[in-house]
Order: sequence, then C-alpha cells, then structure tokens
Amino acid sequence: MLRTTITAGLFALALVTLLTLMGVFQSFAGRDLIAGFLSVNLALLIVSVIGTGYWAAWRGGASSIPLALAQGGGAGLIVSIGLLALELLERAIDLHFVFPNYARPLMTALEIDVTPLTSLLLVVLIAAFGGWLAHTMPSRRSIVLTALLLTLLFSFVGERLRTMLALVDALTVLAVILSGALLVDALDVHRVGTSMLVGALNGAAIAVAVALVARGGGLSPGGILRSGHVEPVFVGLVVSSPTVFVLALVLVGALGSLIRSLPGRSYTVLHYGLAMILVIGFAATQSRWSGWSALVTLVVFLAVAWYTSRQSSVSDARYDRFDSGSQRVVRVAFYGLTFLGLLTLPLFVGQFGTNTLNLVGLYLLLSIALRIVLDNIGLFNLGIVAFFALGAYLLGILTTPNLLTCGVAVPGIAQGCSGVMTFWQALPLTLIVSGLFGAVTALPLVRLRGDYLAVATFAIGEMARLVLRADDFRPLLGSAQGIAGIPRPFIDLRIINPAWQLRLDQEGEFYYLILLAIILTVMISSRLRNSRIGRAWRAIRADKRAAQTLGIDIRHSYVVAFTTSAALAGLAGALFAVHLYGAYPDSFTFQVSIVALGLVVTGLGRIMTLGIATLALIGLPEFVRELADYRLLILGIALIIAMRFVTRPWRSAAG
Amino acid sequence: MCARLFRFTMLLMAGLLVGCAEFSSPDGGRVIAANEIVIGLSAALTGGGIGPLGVDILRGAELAVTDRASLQVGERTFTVRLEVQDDLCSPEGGQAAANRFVADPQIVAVVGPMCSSGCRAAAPIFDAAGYTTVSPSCTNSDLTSGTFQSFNRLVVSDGVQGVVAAEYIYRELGITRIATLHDGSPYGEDLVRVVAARFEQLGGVVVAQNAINVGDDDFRALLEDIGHNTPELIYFAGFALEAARLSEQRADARLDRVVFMGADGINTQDFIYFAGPAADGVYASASIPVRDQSLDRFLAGYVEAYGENPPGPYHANAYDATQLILDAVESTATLSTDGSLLVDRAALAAYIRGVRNRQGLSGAINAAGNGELLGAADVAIVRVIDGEYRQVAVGRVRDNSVLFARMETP
Amino acid sequence: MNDQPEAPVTPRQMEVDLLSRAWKEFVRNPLPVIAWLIFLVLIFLMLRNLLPQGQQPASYSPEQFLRQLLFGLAQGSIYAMLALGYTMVYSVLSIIHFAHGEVFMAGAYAGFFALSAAAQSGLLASDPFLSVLLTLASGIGVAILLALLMERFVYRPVRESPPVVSLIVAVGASLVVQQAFARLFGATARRYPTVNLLAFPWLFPNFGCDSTGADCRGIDLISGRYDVSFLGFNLRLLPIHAVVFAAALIFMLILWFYVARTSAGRALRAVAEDRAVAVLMGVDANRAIVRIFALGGVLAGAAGVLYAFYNHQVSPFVGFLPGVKGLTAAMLGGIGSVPGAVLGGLLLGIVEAIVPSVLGMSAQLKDVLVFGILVLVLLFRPGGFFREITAEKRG
Repeated sequence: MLRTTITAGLFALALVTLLTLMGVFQSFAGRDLIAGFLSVNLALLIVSVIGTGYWAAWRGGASSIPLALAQGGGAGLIVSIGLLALELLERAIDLHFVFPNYARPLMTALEIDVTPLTSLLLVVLIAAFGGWLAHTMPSRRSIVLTALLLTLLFSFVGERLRTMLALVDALTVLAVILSGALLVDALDVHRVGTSMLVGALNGAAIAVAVALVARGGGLSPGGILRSGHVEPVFVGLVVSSPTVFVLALVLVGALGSLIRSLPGRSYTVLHYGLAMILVIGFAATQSRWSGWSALVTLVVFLAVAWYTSRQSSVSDARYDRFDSGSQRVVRVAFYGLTFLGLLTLPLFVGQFGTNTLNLVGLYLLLSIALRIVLDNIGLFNLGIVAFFALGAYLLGILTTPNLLTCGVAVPGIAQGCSGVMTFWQALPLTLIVSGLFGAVTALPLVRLRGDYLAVATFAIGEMARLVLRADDFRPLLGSAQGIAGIPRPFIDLRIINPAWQLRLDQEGEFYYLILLAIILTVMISSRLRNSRIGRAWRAIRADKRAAQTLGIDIRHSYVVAFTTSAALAGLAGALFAVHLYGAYPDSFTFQVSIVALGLVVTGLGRIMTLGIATLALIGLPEFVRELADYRLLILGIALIIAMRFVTRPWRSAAG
Repeated sequence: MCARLFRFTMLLMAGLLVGCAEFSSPDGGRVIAANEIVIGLSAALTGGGIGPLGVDILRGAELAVTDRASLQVGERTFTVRLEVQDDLCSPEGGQAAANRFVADPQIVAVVGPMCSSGCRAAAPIFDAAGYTTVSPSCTNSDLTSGTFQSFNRLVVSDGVQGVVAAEYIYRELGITRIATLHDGSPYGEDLVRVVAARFEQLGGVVVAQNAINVGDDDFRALLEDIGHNTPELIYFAGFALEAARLSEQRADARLDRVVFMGADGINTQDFIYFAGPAADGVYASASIPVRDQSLDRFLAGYVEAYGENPPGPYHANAYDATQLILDAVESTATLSTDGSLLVDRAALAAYIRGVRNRQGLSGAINAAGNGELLGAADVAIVRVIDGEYRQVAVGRVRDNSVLFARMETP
Repeated sequence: MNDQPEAPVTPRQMEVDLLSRAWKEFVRNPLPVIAWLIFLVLIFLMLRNLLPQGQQPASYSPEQFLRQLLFGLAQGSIYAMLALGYTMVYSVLSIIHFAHGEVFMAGAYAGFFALSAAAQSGLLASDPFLSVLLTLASGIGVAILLALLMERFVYRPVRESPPVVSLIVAVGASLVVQQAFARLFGATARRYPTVNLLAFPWLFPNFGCDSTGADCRGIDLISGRYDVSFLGFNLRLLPIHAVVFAAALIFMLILWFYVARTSAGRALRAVAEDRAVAVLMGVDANRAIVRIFALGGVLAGAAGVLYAFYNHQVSPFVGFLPGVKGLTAAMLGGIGSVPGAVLGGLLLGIVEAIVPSVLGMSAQLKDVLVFGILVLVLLFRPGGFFREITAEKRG
C-alpha cells in the first residue's frame, strides 16, 4: 500500500514537473479566478495538488479516512519535495537556458515568497484533502466534483459572462418557467397541449406585468428593475420592441411548461441551463467576479446537481408515459426552446461574443462537413482544409475585381466591373465547383486503404496550402496578400418594399446567416444518413469488401460522400472569407484540418457534443487568450484518448 | 417537415427583427466616458517569434501612459488607461480584437493592430464603427491607398523603406544586378515589389525573383539557381531565421562574395545569433528615429522600467502613437452636462489625419491625409560589423528622391 | 438473349467504335490519361530549360546539375535514414509511424543541449571529436526513449484496431510532442554552435594548418568548404555531405547485419512475416516490436543530429517536413524494403534538389513536388518501385 502511494506520488510529480517546466502555472499572469482572492495560476496549482492526493488515495483504495488522508498527504509530500529539488536545481544550473518557461510554481502562484517548509506543509495538506475527496461516497462525490468543475469553469470566464444579462432578466425567465411548471402541477394538467396553453398564458401574464412595471418607471435609473451594474438586456426590449418581448415570453412559457416531463438527459441539460442563467444574473449584481459570485455559483450548481440526480428519473418516467405524438411535441418543444435561445444569443453576448460565436459556427460547419465522410464511411479526410480554402478563394475571386472577373490583374481593392458577382450569385457556383472537386478527388481514392487515404488527403491539403501562397499564381490567387476587400452579402428586397435592404455588416446580422447555414447543413447531413445511401455508407464502413459483394457501388458512394462534404466545406470557407472580408493564405493550414478532425472525433458523433467541443476549443481561447497557446496540445491529447476509448464500428473490424 | 420549416422561418424572421433592433450602436459617433480615457492596444503578445515585438509595442504605450497619466478637460481630470488585446498577428485575431474594441464605447482610439494582415482585416470593422487607429508597425503600402478611413500609421511604410534600399544599393553601393527573395509573408512580398520596381527604374537589373516559405531551412539548391544568374547582391525581405540560413548557405553555393541585404525584419539581435559568423557584412534597413536627447532619455527610462534593452523596433512608434491620441483627445474633447467626457469620433479622426509638424520620438509627424503620419521619415542603412549592427548611412526621402548621409565606418 | 451489338463493318464504323470505347474507358478511369498529360507537360518544361534559347545559354547547366546533385545526395541521406524507420515499423506492424518525424526532432534537440554544454564547458574547443560523439549519443538516446514511449503509450493500445486508427493516434501524438517541446524548450529556434572537427591529416596533408603552416590537422568534417575542380566543373565540396552519406550507408549496413544475421534480427523477420505464427513459435512479439522502434529511434536520432549539424538550427517544428519526406521516400522505395528505403531516400533528395530548377518551378512550390510524388505513389504504386523481398504482405 505504501508502494502505491509512492508510485502515485512519483507519477504525479512527473506530471506536475512537466507542467511547471512548461510554464503552465505562470501562464495566466494577472488573471484572477476570483477577483482579488484567487488567481488562475494559484487555482491551477491547487487543482493539481488536489488531483494528486485524490489519485493516490483512489489507487491505494482509501478504505478509511485516516488512511485516505495519509495516502493523499504522502503523495503530496513526494510532489513538494520534488518541486523543491527543482528549485534547488534552478539555483545550481541555468535552468532557463533549457526551459525558458520555467517559473517556481508556488512563488508565482501565491505572488509572495514562501519558505520551503511552508510550501511543503501547504502541499501536503491540500493533497490530503484530495485524498479525503476520494474517500467520500461516489454519488456525493460526483455531485461535488461536477459543481466544483462548473464553478471553476464559470470563474474562468466569469468576468466576460458577467455583462451578458442583468439579474432581472434571469429572474423573469426563471419566473415564467417555474411558475408555469407549478401551475401545470396545481391544475393537474396531463395533456401536453393544455400544458403548453397554460404556460403560454402564464408567460403572457408575467410579460404584461413586467411591462407595466417597466413603463411605470421601473426601468429608469434607480427603479426596481435596475439592480447591479448591467443594463437589463432582455427586459430592456420592453421599451424598444414590446411585441417581441411578449412573444418571447409566451414562447418561453409554452415550452417551459413541459419542464417536468422531459426525457432524462434533456431534463438535466435544461436545469443546468437555467442554473447558468441564474448565476450570470447574480454575477451582474457585482462589480466584478468576486468571491460572492463564486460562492453563489457553487451553491447553485450543487443544488442543481443534487436535484437533477434525484428528479431526472421521475421526469423520464413521466415522459415515457406519454404517447408517441405527445413525446414528439415535447421533444420539438425542447429543441424549439434551445433554438429560441440560439436566436436571441447575439442580444446577450454582445458584439465580441457574437464574433466568437460566428467563428465557432464556421468551425462547426466545417466539422459537420468532415463528419459526413468520417462518421458514415469512416474515412479520414485530413485535407479538408483544401475544400475550405477552395470555397473561400472561389467566393473571393468571384466577388472582387480581378483577372477572372475583369480580365485585368488588379490586386485587391478597386472599382467594380461587370464581371463581379454578388454573394448570392457566387455562392451556388462556389458550392457546385467545390462539389465537383470533391467528386474528382474521390475517384482515385476509392481503392485506397484507410490510412493511405488519410495520408493522400493530407498531401492534397498541404499542396493546396503551398499553392495558395505561391507567387506563381499571383494574378489569380493574390499570393501572400490573398484576396482582400470581399464584400459582405447584401440582401436586396427593394422590389417588395423599398425599405428592405440590408448589408450584413454587423456581427449580429452575420450570425443569423451562419445559423441558417448550420441548420441547412445539419438537415442535409441527417437526411443523407437516414437514406439508402447512408446505409450503403455504413455498410462500407463495416466491411468494404463485403459491401462490394452485396452489390453496393463503392465508387458511387465515395463520390456522393466526398461531393457533399466538399460542397459543405466550401460553404464554410465561403462564409469564412466573407466574414473576414478577405481570403488570406495564412488562414488555411494543416492546423485547420486537424482542429476539424479533433472536433469530430471528440464530438462522439452527436451534433450537440460537437457543438460543445467546438465552443470549448474555439470559443474559449477567444475569451481567455492564454489558452490559445495550449489549444493544439490539448487537441493532440484529445485525439489520442478519443481514438482509444471511443467505440466505433471500425475499431472492431478485423485487423 | 413543412411545418418545421415554416416554424423555423418564422422564428428566423423574429430573430432578424430582434437582431436589427439591437445592433444600431448605442451612440456610434461619440465616446462617452465617466472617469477614464481608455486607449485600446492591439498587438501580438504571445507566440515565439512575434511576441517580443508586441510586448515591445505594449511597453512603449505603457511608458506614454506613465508619462501622461491624466488629462485635463474643462474642470475635470480624467485618468488614462490602456485596454490591451492580443491580436495574434493574424487576420482573425485582428478582427476579434477590433470587435472587442468596437463594442466598448469608452475606447477613444486604438494603437495597433500590429501586423499588416491584422490591420487589413480589422480596418473594415473600425471603419464601420467610426473608430480611429494609429498603428506603430503596419507597413504594408496599400493600407493607405484610400480605402480605409480609420487607418493611420506612425511608421515608415514599405513604400519608403524599399525605395531607400533600392537607391542605396544602386547609388551608394554601385551594384547593378540584384536578385530578390521574399518569405511569402504579405510584408515581405510587398517590400520586394517596391524595391524591384525602384531598382529597375534607376536602371538596374533584377536578375532573379524568388520566394521561399517560412519554416524552410535548406536553401542551397535555390541559391545555386540564383547564383546561375550572377547577381551582385541578394535582397531578402523576411525575418531573422530564414535570413540567417540564407546568409550562411551562400557560402555553400559559392556565393560568399555576393552581398546579402535585408530589411527591418532582420535588424534584430536574433539574426546575429542565428547566423553566427555568417552575419558579418550583412546589410539591413530600418526606420530609425533621430538620435537625440529625448530619445536617449526614453531609452534609459525603458531599460529602467523593464530591465532589458528593447527586444523589438517599434517602441518609440508606439509611444508616439499613444501621445498623439492623447493630444487629439485633449483638443477635441468636451464635457457633457453631467461631467462625463464626450469626444466626437469624427473630430478625433480629423485631428489625427490633419496633424502637422509635431516632433515625436520616432521622427517628424506630418499627416499626409491618407493615413500616413511619418511620411518623410529617415531610413537607416545598417551593417553587421564585428557581430553588431552599426549605422553606415541614413537616407532621407524628399520629393521622391533620396539623399544619403554617410556615417563613418570604424 | 442475343443482344450483341453489331460488329463494326466499315472502317469508319470501326473508328467510331474505337473512339467511343476509348471515351468510355477514359470516363471510367481518367487517371492514367491525366497522368500522362501532366508528364508530357513536365517534359516540355524541362526541355525548355535545358536547351539554350537563341543567344541565351540554357537556364540550367550541367555544372548546376552536378552541384545540386551533391546537395540532393546529402538531403537524401537524411531522408533515407528516416525512411528506414518508417519501413521497419511498417514491415512489422503494417502501420504508418506518422510520428517518426518528432523522434527526429527530439534527437536534434537533445543533441543541441549536449553540444551547448560541451561548448560552454570548453570541451568543444579542446576535443571536438568527443563532443560530436557525445552529441550523437545524447541525440540517439533521447530519440530511442521517445520512440519507446510512443510505442508503449500511443501505438500499443490500438494495435488491434485498423491501421487508420494508428495513423490518427500518431497524428495526435505528433502534435502533442511538437507542442510539448515548444512549451518546454521555447517555440523559437536554437542555433547549433559551430563545430570544427578536423580529421584525416594523413589523407589531406595541407589542410587545416595553423598560421605558421606547421600543425596541419586535416579537413574540417563538419564546417569545412573546399573548392575543387572536377572534369572542368568548379565545385565546392562540403565534407559534411560525405559524413551524412557515409552515416546513412553505415547505419543501413548495421541494420542489415542486425536483421539478416543476428538471432534477434531473425525474430524481427519472423514477426514481420507473420506475427501469429511467430508467437506460436515462441518469439516474444512485444520485445521484437520494441526493438524495431528502438532501431528506428537510433536512426532518427542520428539523422536529427546530423541534420542539425548541416543546417545549424533546431526548432520544435523541424521534424514535420522531413518526417513527411521520409515517409514519401519509404513509399517510393517500397514500404517494407530496407534497400528500397535507402534508394527511395536518395532518389527523393536528388529529385527535390534538381527537378524544381529543371522545370523552372519556384522554390515555394518545391514541397508541392514532394507531396505530389507522395500522392502519386500512394495512388499508383503503393508497393513502391522495389517490391519487398519477403513474402507477400496481407492487407
């Protein structure tokens, strides 16, 4: 038993040393998790030490509290001795020559000088706590851990989230949903339709009430609807567009009334969503992400975690008792609620947040395009960036004056000429050409083995990258300067109504275009999956030769898959170029393919998880810039782990 | 299916209404600030090769804020603060940083972005919001061709640096055959174009034009090809690492007699480190501020505050940019009735686009009206002698011709 | 049913029939035609550059060819050493060891730290030969360590899965190693200290003499450059080319000896031929596979150090392109064949050095050539040009 503690401790020491030498514990300089109290660096260090103790006790089978504490503490002792030895080493030799990012973890984290003995004691104590954690009951543990993890995550981005909505917004939404659910219970309503009606009426009532209070002075400075430091975003609609406000609350009420009868997972997700809204609302009352915000976050998440662990099965049972028609309504209602939330997101996250969401959306588009080929036929297209770039450059070339459209090599920005197309004219052409390239690429790849195909597509992607930058193609592709001055789409409905013209200049406006594209892509993707050709694809994935003997035309299947995938990747590329106002060669590297691959693989095949993964990998580093340095590292680790543990049909195929 | 589609479209329309309602910017044309004057700064702060340059820019701006920590407007004093964003030296990063700034009505103006690609991607966003930027390092010549209202730069453009380089090669070094090389970056490609055009205009011959990729490390075959055309000088527009390899591998391809010249990208200690003994005799150009007392004081203050020599070349430019913005605020700001600061963005932009005869650390600031602020600045030609860069000449551009003043070489 | 098309009777009908058949064949499989067309275009470009045009001399001269040939052989030797690693792993596990380039990079880095230590302590000045040996040893040692770690934690868990899984895991591992090295040792490049290793004074009695002309110590193997006139061509010879070339040959010989003559090598060959049967015969498959990876590590580590001596720099990203080119070389020569790997490597090096100039391609597109070769080899001759000598591989 001592041996497990020692080995666990040594292993943990190796990991912590690695992290220290990489400079992880000093990456987030100046960034606070809880303002003025806990810096991110310190939090990371504490988490690592707790993890050490937890792991040691878990490995050693913590059968009693003193034993767990001892195991945890023992591992902590090894780690702290190792770190101290590292500090001594730093004084002896020039460690920074070899490891330029090294920083003494405890000192930088605590920002004060600590004596070796103090640091030793601290580490041992915290590790012992980790050991205790391993000892507590599993069910309690998972609740505590989930809540802690979510609190940490929120604290990480808390300062940014704080301005998303005001407390009154959160309370309004929560009031509508909760009162609707209570009403449905009180009136003992069983039918889904009636529930929704009750909920809608309830929502309307609350909306009117809030509107009256707002109009009566609640929204003026000092009014009761204004608390804290953030302007009410949602409730603020009462002034600018009251109809939308009432409509929104009616919808929320209708959909939210079904909260008690959702299938288990949706139930949990919805509750966590509401908890997040509440937390953000509370944080808005503070001037910065303070200890109070973190505390309230922890309490709320603990409560929700505990509550959902008990009630989700009850809700699941209730859902199962519905007939299939009602079940479908409930499901649609849940997705409708989510969709409504997505529609209104730009309102809350602001311009920069929407910019981030747009980037996330574009990568999501690309990942779904890759997913068509990967999830169905099991082919790894490591060169998907080539089609992404193709779409981007094609759209750029067609919508700016240059050699192709004007017959004159004009770099970048100049007056228009007759050959220049609008976005809506150029887009179908872009999709068709991308699809064609996909078809042409697919043909020679048909008889290649899986990994050969991956390497071949990788080579194609790299060739595209080099060709885009090369001087040889400057007249058309712009070489290093790329294609600049790509105009944003212009919606021109003036023939119907002279006032209906809009150039999608704003991030918020572009957001809806991307959202529309994602919805279309998902629809196409799921259509294909559930069709005959989707089944043919999966047959090929399971066993290519058997599928052939069954009469499935492999070539046809490959071509259709690649064509669709290429066209959709081209769509993503076109939107990307338009979003960035240009297509620059630097944006199309192997990294893009790898990121898309990593997202699809860790997305476990579901769009929802894919969305969360994209949000984490692309969105988070926008908010926390320091993470951008680690993005590829985390992606690589995720790839290795995901490929090992994800069970997919081709993992079990004959060697 | 149809029902779903209908519902989607309805909701989408609703969403558009919501979206349109919200995104008319709250008070697009004016800055309103309660207590602070906030200046945005966009530079690449992370990333191995490029990070030090961004940090250098940040420090220049910080020193400006330290020197001028508050401004008097009417009876009120406002403190000055920097709001820093990392733009990653990429178009996406530049755009993201721009979106961050544009969402915050407190920001009066922005110092940055740092890299030409970021400047190009961010400019439309700043244009749309009426913001003003003063970049201390975006040198791409077509940024001031008239498309971007918001863009200004307080640094010598490639258009000037390339011209001086070409003139120096032709007139001072007496070389008539050169080969050009760039590294595939927008900066390098642009600079090489300027140099080649000017050189041919003067009567020289560009015997070969090539390009490499950043990250390549074996150029011997390429140098062989270049050597086949017998140039007397190789002009490379790019950064230190590739320049070092090229300069070293000249000898392998029997080109050790051929002169090697670069631009401000290689005017760093890094180049000398990477090239080793092959660095000796290499020329470079750089925009330099006039060496005088105020600059010396600034550099001394820099070393004292940060404990090391500047790792990049744009610290003085950043300092001047910040000071210029503060000047503009001081001259165009008014107080609102409740005592908060009001700045009309258009007036601010006009001030910067019209500034005349202002002496900054990086040179004489004279707005040309298209965004160029340091039009008639000096460009130095430096050479590595005994393992260190020494100035050998200074070129002054006046009315499209260049005058050189030679420095004594030891 | 006798629905046979009528046999063509007139010559014109025969023509049309032939044409339609050819067209159908083209639509069914357009690749050979396209490949031939590209080949013809390349020949045209080549001739245009090789032949003098009017008054001008040819764009490409025999002297250039010779000089670039030498550069190409040196680079090719590095590729050969890397290709051997790919080929060995493939012959045993039938997977592509995509992360091999990072082993190369790790060796180069380890060599850097060893060499820097030698330079700082003065060992480099006093005994360059020992310093070089130490550099090589540390490079090889670290490379072996990394290769073994990869085998154990990256490849072994997915050994029973289809080869594409191993490839993707390798891609992930390659990413992790690159980024970890960048975070650990800094993302900026490092410069190898200049090494002056004088040797063979008996062969070259007038070289490496000090100022008095007395103490002549031979040619500088690492940093020397010597002008030589050969058959009327003026060449500048770098001894390091010979060093790298010799290293590749020596390692190939050692490898060949190990695989062909020793009992451990016999075990390797058995596992390569049929793992299940070998295990039944009592061979420890795991140990054999570990040895293969270690051998690959030796080669990659040595290649990394030599590469760094040649190019004077290391960075965390230095392994990516050489790794891909090594893979291309291995496939070119026939993945699974040891002499094929060496020949493929040398061939690729030479092609990379000469062909872009002959075709008048820009240097930026040089790598497009290599990737193009990779795609072509994968599509048309995955077995390479030198079919492996062992029995037919399955799968």
